[in-house]
Amino acid sequence: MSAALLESPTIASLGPDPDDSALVAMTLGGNSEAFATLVERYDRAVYHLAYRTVRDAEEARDVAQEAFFKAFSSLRTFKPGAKFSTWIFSIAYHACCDRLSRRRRYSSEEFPERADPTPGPETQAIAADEARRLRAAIEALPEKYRTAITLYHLQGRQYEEIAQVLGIPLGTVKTHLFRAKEQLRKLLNDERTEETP
Amino acid sequence: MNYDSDEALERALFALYLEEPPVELRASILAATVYRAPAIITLPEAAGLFALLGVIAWVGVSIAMGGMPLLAHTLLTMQIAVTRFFGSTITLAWLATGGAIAIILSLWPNQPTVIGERIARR
Repeated sequence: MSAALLESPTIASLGPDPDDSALVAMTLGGNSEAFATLVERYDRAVYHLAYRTVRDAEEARDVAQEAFFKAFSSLRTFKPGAKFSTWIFSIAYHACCDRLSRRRRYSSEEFPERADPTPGPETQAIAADEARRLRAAIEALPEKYRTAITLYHLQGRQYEEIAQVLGIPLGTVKTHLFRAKEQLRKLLNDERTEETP
Repeated sequence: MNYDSDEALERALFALYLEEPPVELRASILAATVYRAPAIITLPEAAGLFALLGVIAWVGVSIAMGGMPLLAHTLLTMQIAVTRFFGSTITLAWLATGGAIAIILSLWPNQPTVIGERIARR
């Protein structure tokens, strides 16, 4: 057997953009740098999904950390043919659901049903103001619609992957997206009407 | 901006950028995963080795303090105590009861946890 075959592969040896399954395999082989690459690749998206779902920056950070910790601890259970992104999003989403159900159980706080109507400063650029309005409207959506919108429009995930992450049928994902857009449009247009004297 | 048309809303949604996560997020994830200090490993072999070292030390000290007669006497006393302990029917009955309960509990299906997870996911 040649010496090259005996050497454990490095990330550099996998090319400029190694795929996730190769990185998982390398992590299981004891290469910590491979998992660090996976963290680098998905931490922002996982945080973003958590933030959109739990609507709290502190909790979103905890969820992201918890999701990666769980993934790292149970990496051996990861199915070789599966997508790492689907898996990590799914872990994060379930962690969010746990937190939301705990929050509902221990708090009588009502979640906002409407977008924040506070207008942005007039000096702010129009685009930034529109983005703020849109974000506020997304935050006012029910959790299931908010998550679907986040995964599809903001993270560019496919219907199939969203269905797997949320554990719902493909048709339901499409329905959630349709209804989410309907509610968004209503929220944004209502707000516009209220602002107009 | 008017969002009456589906295209306008879709365009606006796709154009939204992701929020930046807290600066220390990546470092904290790495510290909790790949760079975490390894937990203290308590292998059965290690526990056995420590027990063996303890016995050797105890035998050594006994011989040094009173020679072989003291060691032999101590061992004989211990043997009698152990024989008495396990010779008692009541002791054996309690041990059997404890063992049976432990086996039953280990085989019991973990239903409450599964139901709890399902409720939490709703």
